[in-house]
Amino acid sequence: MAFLDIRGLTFSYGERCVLKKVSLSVSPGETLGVIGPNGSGKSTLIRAISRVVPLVTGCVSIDGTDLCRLSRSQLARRIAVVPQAATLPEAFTVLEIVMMGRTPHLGFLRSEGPRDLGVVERAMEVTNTSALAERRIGELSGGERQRVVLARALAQEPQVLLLDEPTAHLDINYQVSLLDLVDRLKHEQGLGVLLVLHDLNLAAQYCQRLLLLHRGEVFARGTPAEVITEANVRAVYGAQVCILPHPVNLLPTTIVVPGNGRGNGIMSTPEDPARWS
Amino acid sequence: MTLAPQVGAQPRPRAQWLLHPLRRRWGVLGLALVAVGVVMLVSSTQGAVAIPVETLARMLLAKLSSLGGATAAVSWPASYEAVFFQIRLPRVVLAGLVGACLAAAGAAYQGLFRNPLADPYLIGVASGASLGAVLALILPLAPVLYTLGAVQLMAFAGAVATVAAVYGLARVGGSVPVSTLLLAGVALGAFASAVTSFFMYIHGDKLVSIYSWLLGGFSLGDWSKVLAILPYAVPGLAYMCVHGRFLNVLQLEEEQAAQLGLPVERLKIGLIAAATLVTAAAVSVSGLIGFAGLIVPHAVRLLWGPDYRFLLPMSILMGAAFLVLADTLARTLLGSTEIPVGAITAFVGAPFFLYLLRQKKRAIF
Repeated sequence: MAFLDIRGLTFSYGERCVLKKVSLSVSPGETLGVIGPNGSGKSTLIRAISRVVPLVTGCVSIDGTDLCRLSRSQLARRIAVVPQAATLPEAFTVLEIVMMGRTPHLGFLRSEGPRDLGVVERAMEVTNTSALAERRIGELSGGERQRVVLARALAQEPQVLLLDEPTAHLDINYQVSLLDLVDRLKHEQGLGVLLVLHDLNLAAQYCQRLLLLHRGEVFARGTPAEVITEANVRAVYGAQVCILPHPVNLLPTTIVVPGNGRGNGIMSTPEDPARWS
Repeated sequence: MTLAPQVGAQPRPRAQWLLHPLRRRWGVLGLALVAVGVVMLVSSTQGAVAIPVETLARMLLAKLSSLGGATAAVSWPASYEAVFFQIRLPRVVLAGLVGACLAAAGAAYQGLFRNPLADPYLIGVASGASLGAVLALILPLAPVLYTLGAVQLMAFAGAVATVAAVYGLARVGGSVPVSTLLLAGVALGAFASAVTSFFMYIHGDKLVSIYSWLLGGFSLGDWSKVLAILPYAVPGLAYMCVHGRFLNVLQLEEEQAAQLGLPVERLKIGLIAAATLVTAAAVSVSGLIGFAGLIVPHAVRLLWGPDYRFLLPMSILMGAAFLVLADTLARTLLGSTEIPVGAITAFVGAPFFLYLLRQKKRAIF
């Protein structure tokens, strides 16, 4: 049975329809990647699932429970969001920020108890942020901040993790280590992960299934090899690319072609003798 | 998924200690409370009639025991009692309450707007209260209405009505974005100020009474004013204090706060209402006293950090102490001539605040 199940999700900002009848499902221990060009509705999808924008039509459920029937804090106990480049108040300490992840579990007037602290410490351990506990947010690097936000999301003890381009603004080392971490957590803790990514290569490497959005509609879905094809990328992004198998694991790897392939002198084949003479 | 600690795993004691900023700082708050009490009592001995501290202590003891039915021997001039209980004490208590309200409202607005420049007067309280007070002063009201506190009532009503209008104007669909709220507050505030200026201009004969109200102060402080502010101050301050944890989460930006399960819009309207009511109550009894609501919360942040669970109660105590001290200076520095307390708050408060600011190099907000 599907864990996170979304059927016919439609949303519009005023007249402009941003999401049209999007359906998807994510099982525990699975990563579903959402890719698509800027403005294709990827971030809106995450905002609609986490209900910070109201749904027009459609049904979102976890384990058969309709999320519309849940209160905000009930929802936040099931779904945690790692936003794109989250703004954090600089004067707070890392421990204080991660502890905010316990908010949906605390009633009004109740303050954190030993169990909350235990959960927070575990979340900081697995994200390798324990050593930062008493540092202030303003003193952290971008990669450290993103790990703190992930720790806060884990402190919510969610069933589903939604990540909105978590690797934007990170260098290649932090990108890989963050996604490796998400991958490990997903297996260890049976999380369902919905991962919005810009980078097609990262998406191919880290997601079992992909969903390609185009103008708010699902253009293609399936395994990375089925979705990341030269034809799909040309149709959706309008970009000319070469897709090659990854040298280690044969997953589709996208290689950009400068000048969009319209012969500008850079684009020459190795057989072209003029290029090599 | 579960991240529950393994059975038998003990949380590290250091982190346990860090866990409850309120418990950890309970002692600091207690000390501050005692300090505020001492400041209030010592301040009330100062003035044209100086009351020795030990006489004050004996007078208070006698008062307490007389409440219990006993009578003690009186060994001090009867005028001391009148000066202390009818003039000094209400004035000091009023200054303390107003300081507490302004500082707490300042802290709450700064947190809500995530803006260090926010002060209690930001979204229309000051201009609305001024307009109300000026209207009350220039309208040909029966003298009896003034003794019943017409100016105070109109100031309160003007402040609350202005903020309510700002909130209504700033509403976009189901939510009230803080940027819209700020802009609507500034615009409506400017409009109300323009109307106030116009009335002041055409009623030149009332300028002295209008101006002395606008400057603010506690020279007319009595128990009736204390009673007028208490019904707003006590629940309003309590409401803000118990929402400290939510204000912390709101520092993350509203979308993240909502994704952590907070009912953001409901919290915003509750906190704005509480901060506005306590500010309006304070302004209606004391006029416009600047600066306290802006710098007291920042001074507390500089000294003890940004956690609103501690920041709010500490701002209440420090705000009270700050205005009591400022008012004592205002009425004693030049002998029988009073200095406007707003001048003292800025003159003494600004250098102290700048000193604190220079001491810390890290982010405070």
